[in-house]
Amino acid sequence: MNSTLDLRLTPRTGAAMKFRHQPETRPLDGYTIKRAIQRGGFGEVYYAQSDAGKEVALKLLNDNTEVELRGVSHCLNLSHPNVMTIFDVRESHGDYWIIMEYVGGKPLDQILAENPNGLPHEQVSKLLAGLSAGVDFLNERGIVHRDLKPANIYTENGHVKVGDVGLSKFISVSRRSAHTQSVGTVYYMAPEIAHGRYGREVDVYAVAVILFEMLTGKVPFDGETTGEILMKQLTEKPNLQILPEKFRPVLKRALEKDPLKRTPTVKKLAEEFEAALAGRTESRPARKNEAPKYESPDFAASAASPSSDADHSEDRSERRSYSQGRRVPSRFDNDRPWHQTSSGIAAALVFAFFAVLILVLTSPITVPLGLLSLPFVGIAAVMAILYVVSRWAIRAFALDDGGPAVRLNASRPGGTATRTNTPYVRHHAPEALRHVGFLQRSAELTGSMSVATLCGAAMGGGFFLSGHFESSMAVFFGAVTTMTAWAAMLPGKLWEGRGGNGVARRLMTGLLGCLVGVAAFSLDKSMMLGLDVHDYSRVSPQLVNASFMPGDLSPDDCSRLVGYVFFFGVLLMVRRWWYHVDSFRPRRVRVTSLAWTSLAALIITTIPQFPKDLAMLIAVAASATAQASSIWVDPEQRANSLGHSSSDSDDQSTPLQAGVL
Amino acid sequence: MFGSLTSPASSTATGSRYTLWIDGVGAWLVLTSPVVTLGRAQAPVSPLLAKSSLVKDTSDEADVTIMSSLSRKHAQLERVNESWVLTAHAATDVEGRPVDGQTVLSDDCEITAGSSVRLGFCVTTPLSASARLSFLSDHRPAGAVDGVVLMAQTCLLGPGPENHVRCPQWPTSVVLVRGRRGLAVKSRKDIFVDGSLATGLTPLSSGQVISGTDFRFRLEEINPER
Repeated sequence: MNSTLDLRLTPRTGAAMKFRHQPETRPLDGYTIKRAIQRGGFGEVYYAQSDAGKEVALKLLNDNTEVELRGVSHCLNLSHPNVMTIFDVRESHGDYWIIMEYVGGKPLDQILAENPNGLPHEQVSKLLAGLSAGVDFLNERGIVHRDLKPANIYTENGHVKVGDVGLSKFISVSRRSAHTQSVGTVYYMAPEIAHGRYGREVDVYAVAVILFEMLTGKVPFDGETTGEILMKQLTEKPNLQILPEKFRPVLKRALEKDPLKRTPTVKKLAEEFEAALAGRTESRPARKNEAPKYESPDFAASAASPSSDADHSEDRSERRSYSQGRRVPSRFDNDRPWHQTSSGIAAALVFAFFAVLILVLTSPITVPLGLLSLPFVGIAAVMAILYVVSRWAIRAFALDDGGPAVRLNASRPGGTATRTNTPYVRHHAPEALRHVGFLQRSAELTGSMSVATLCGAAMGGGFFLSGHFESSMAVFFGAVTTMTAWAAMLPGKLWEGRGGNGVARRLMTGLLGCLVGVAAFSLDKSMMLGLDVHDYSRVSPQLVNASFMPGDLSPDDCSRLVGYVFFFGVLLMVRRWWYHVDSFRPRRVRVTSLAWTSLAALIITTIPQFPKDLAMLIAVAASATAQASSIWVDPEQRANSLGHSSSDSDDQSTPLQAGVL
Repeated sequence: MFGSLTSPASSTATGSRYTLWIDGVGAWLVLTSPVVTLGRAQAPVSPLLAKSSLVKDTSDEADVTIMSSLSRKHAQLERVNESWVLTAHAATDVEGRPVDGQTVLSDDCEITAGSSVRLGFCVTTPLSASARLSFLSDHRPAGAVDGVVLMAQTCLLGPGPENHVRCPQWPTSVVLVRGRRGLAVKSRKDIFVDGSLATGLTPLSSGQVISGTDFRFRLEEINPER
């Protein structure tokens, strides 16, 4: 069959009204067709009356009869108040007819069309309760609906009936992923369907999209073309900011791309939603930069719900990933323009402190560095603690510092929040999953690396001309700065737009840092700079010789090598360099980031012996170089950039889409 | 109090009842009589028993029968010039206020008959005196009727809010016009009656199928012998 047909973007409420059977005809013995109801992906549906006067919906199957008949036969004897009942399947003149319960009310898509800004929360709650009861009933019997969408969900006097169960798919372990036929509507299509996986998580995802739509009137992923929507389903994070704050964690979890991290069942999703809704009385106007509350609807829900033992371990792992997942936004918010979103004074103080520190340390006036550095480290630590405490206090007491950020208009009771000011859109942040073509990556990387080289050289040259450095020292500085920046940019660009584990990334950049350390040592040695770098840990020279260099190094050189490797390795590990060079970073160069990097360098130098002024200078120079020379997309252009890259990369995404289409 | 407004001629005039079976939209009851009664539906009768002597005569049924605990003739709606007057024979509220005798219905109001039957009354366009009754509570006529059109001269079917029967997917409006012998149909675009092109105002008879490029409906007269 041609399943691409089903993926066409048709108006939500149906296609052209052309039907095979005329009203008042009797293609199926015993039933008189009165009118056509709709045309679905799998056939035409008619309203008919039996000879005894029973109202039914008759579904005439298209050519893909076998698939549907198999699905229907599984559900033939299932009975649930929230599932449209199938009375029988009949064959007549070579056609297969499904005789179903007729539901007279509006389908959900029509209700949504009449409420473009979303439904009142009470109504959402009621609809979701019925929807989840019906879907959970099916899921519990091993049936995945696969094609949940508002057009398939009927309401009669506010009572929900899940329809089109004919598309349902029987889960069996062997067939779980074998059946690659894709059907359904892309708005509600879970990402793993692209890989032919149809677990019950597919239904959870679809219900979550429908819930999102009921709350906001919008689907989380919309686009001009099927391909664009599919790409967003696969890569982009949903914009949860348009949801009332209390529902964000619930939907974040239910809309997880990874089915294993997703809310496990539709029932649980409904419970979490109810718990979030019940917390309404303590809701207050949402504030920017406020981490989601941890009173965690899922705890409440799981406490209330009897779940099997098998579910418990699953729940635990989910809860862990959930809480991690929920911490991410606050971290990003805080890593973002924190001088803007939090106490501006604290940020200014920290920055001024580092500016003075760098000036003092790099001045030609000889200052006993050893004496200076210890108090500075202490002060820096105190400052850092003060900063963290002040930020915590700001958040705990919910002081509004009036900075521009996302604000929610929660004035309409029971209504949906609307975003009024969006300087920073979550899905336009570095963590936004997006497609970046191989060629684009390569071009941007090589371009940025060239610029970084120029930057490094310019900095070295600058310090030489200003008389701070000897020529050889200037060359060393420029080269090391450039290499450090490269070590940040290279993996950063490779990871751009892709999801990944932060720890693994840090280890990777740390490894590259070690290589930079080896290179820096080699430079130092070949240029006979003799910088005062030493390793206090006294790693055995034999071990160092065996692992790093083929040639013999003196014990002193070994100690210096380990010092270099340690310094650069840790420097590249402690900062999230990939974030700083991502094209979706909040701003091109952030001085706060430079400050933190130099602080990190200063702290690192307390472990191996490394000239503190040089360490901080290299750290700041490398950070500045990496940021300044990496591609940066203006926030206002990011939506275009996303759209552009997805349409631009159609050729490369073909395999992915081929799986779906 | 409105007795003087009610012309004797209109109260005796008879009209016809039609069902419009509209593909993709629903079933609509169209009543052409200027006087429409509203009441309880008798138990629905299976067509299998249509010729049985056990079936009670339904000729005294109201025009709009609702499966409910209403009286058999609970209220009456009457078109007087361009207005609709409601006469309550049993407990009836309009916009929450009990009707004592008669009241003129405003263009958009809610009628509560008995304790729980809620109906929406709406004159969709000032260009036509026809009105629409919609079912707000979960009470329905015995058949799968989605709404009622109280037709004066015209009944509009189409996508916009001015239509008595809203058909969101339709490209254009179709107008049913009350003629001397039943209904007639016209539209700006080509329409077909039973498959043949109909131009201008085309008379319709019961059972005919009216179709266009993107729509189709069937007109069925109810109990023509009544």
